[in-house]
Amino acid sequence: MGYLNRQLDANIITTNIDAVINWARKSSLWPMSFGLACCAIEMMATVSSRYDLDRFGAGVFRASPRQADLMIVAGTVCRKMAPVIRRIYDQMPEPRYVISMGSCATSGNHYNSYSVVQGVDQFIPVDVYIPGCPPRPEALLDGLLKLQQKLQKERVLVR
Amino acid sequence: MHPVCEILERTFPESVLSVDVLYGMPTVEVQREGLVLVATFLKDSPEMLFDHITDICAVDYPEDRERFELVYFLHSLPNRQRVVIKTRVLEDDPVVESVVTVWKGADFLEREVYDLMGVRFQNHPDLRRILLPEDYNEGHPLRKDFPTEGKGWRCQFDFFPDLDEQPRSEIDRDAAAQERSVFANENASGSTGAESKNAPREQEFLLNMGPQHPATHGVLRVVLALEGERISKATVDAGYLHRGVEKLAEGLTYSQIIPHTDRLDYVCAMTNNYAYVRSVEALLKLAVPERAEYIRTIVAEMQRIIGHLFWLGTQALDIGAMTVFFWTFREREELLDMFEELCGARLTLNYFRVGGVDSNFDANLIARLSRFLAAFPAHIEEYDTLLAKNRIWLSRTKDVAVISAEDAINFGLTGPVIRGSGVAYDVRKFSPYGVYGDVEWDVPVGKNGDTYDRYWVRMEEMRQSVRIIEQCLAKLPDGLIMADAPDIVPPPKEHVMRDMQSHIHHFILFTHGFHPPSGAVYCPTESPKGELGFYIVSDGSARPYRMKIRSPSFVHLGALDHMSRGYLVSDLVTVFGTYDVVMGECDR
Repeated sequence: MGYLNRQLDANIITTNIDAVINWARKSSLWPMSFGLACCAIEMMATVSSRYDLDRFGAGVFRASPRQADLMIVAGTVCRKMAPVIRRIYDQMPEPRYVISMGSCATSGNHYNSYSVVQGVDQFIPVDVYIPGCPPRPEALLDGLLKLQQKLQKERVLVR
Repeated sequence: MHPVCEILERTFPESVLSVDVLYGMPTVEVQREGLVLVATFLKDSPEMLFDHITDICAVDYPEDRERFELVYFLHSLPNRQRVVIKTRVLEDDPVVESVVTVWKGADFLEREVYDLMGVRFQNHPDLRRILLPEDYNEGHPLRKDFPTEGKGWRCQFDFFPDLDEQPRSEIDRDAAAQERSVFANENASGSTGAESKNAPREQEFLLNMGPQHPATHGVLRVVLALEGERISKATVDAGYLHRGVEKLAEGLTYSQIIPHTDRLDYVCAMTNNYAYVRSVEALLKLAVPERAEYIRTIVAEMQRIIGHLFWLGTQALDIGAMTVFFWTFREREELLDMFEELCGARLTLNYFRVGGVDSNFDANLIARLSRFLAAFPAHIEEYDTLLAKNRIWLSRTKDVAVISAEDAINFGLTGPVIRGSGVAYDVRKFSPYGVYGDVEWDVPVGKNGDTYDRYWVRMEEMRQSVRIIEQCLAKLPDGLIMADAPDIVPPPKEHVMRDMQSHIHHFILFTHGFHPPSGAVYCPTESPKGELGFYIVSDGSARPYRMKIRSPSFVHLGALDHMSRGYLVSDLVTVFGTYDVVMGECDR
């Protein structure tokens, strides 16, 4: 501790404000606790004991969209559910991000039927698509890291 | 002739058109007009006692004048006897008398038939669409003239927010009666009680719960009518995960449907696979090698442990105990690792094949499983130390969501939910399949029919599953894991790439599929949620003419209103949890 204190005491870090803001944003992405189907089970597995999503700062699942930054669309998007998803998305404060988890949310998967929307990106913008049916927890973690990389490149104040 | 058929024919000489025994099940065709009479007789007559309605299915035959066939599956728990009642309705007048007065469980089943097939039920208390939205106007999807992809509704998004909309200053108290009711076509005597619709309701408060709610286990919407904090009516609005699997199945060959069954009850894929392949095998009258039967029983019981662990974790999480969730997921992951070693997947396993299973148990896996089984009973004790004497758990589960044995049967409940009420109904005991008849195990039953008893039943079932797997592992015979039936079972993969004949054989089976004889069979299987049954109608082609899934979750939700009345709003999450609903299976 003494060494670290000595190092930090008289130091100046130079960076730009965008990097700091992005770093702060990517390190505390709060997801919506919102599951649709099978993928939600793998999402739960990602949160729980073995995979521990919290290591990446995204483990605080919020039940209210007003407190969330990230929506993980985990599962088959049915047409009856679509207005609800859109409303939840609209309720989230900006900046907001969407991960489309699994083949169903991405493209409808093998559910080419009368009630299944063929991809959630038809009515909300998506940042990261994760393939798999369902994606393994590692794949969800990878998708989250990809989103964090994307976030790091965003421009906030400097246009 | 079967005694049930005989009695029916003698009692109702005019209504009964024909009797037969198909695939071991007495099947009676009755006239539409006499249906309710026959149904009442079947339920109340002391020699019949068909007290349990399992399912109602409608099949469409567009060429026939009497276009729709309604199939009722009834079950007599005291006599351990099943019966199938069929009736036909005309295309221009698809109306039949409702049997809700006989079996309360028929409520949701009839609404589903109305929604997907368009047969109307006279005197039904609340005949509305149940899976599709009420304003859905494309018709009835399961009719044969309806395209699988629908007519464009799935890609119309008319709900995008209108940014120019004027803000509403206040809620108009004198809004039209139609705008006030939550469900467009709901019966007036339903949610609004005795008061007229136009008068402001001072007593009742309507609360919408879901479909986005962390405790509804997916996407279920319930509209609660509250008096203070007590629930006076809970109206279920399901169908937010209705994927149209039954329609899709009509376009797929029999082996292509197996992956779809994985995604029905996605927590317990193995038992879904099992239920489906058993139905197809019953249709084909195909016997499975002994080793495959043992392996099937083992993986089904492993899946039951996984399902119950998942249920325990989430139910405890809903009630407020976080630790249980982390502990149960720890053991669940161990079992999932074994599944991964066995078939390469964690959740959607696709392990069963018509005629056997996909891959073999090796010594390493058996050793791993045995180690797990040796340690697992101690883990169950561990969960018990967290819950069994926990005062919060006890006060949130004891005497909550009580259902009597009589009501539970009348609503058609199955699985741990009915066993919690003291009815020892378990498909594995009633009509043993796999090797359940060759191993020793007990059916745990509760006494009070409350949430705590159902919790106890499931904990005990995990112990019984350990017992079953241990005995199966000890007895596991050597031999084939796929049946020797070249017209159904493809040749082994290692031959396919080397030997031209096997290659062609494989190609033909996978492009054309196999052709079961025409007929119809209902086959029940005990899944961790309850009785999961597949009713398959075959017309002799490689694809099922109609496939009906009898999902326990859907039937259980039919009793939600009954079980949650009078309890607090906060108890509703307990009620969801105690059914162990999985919406993929409920909505299909």
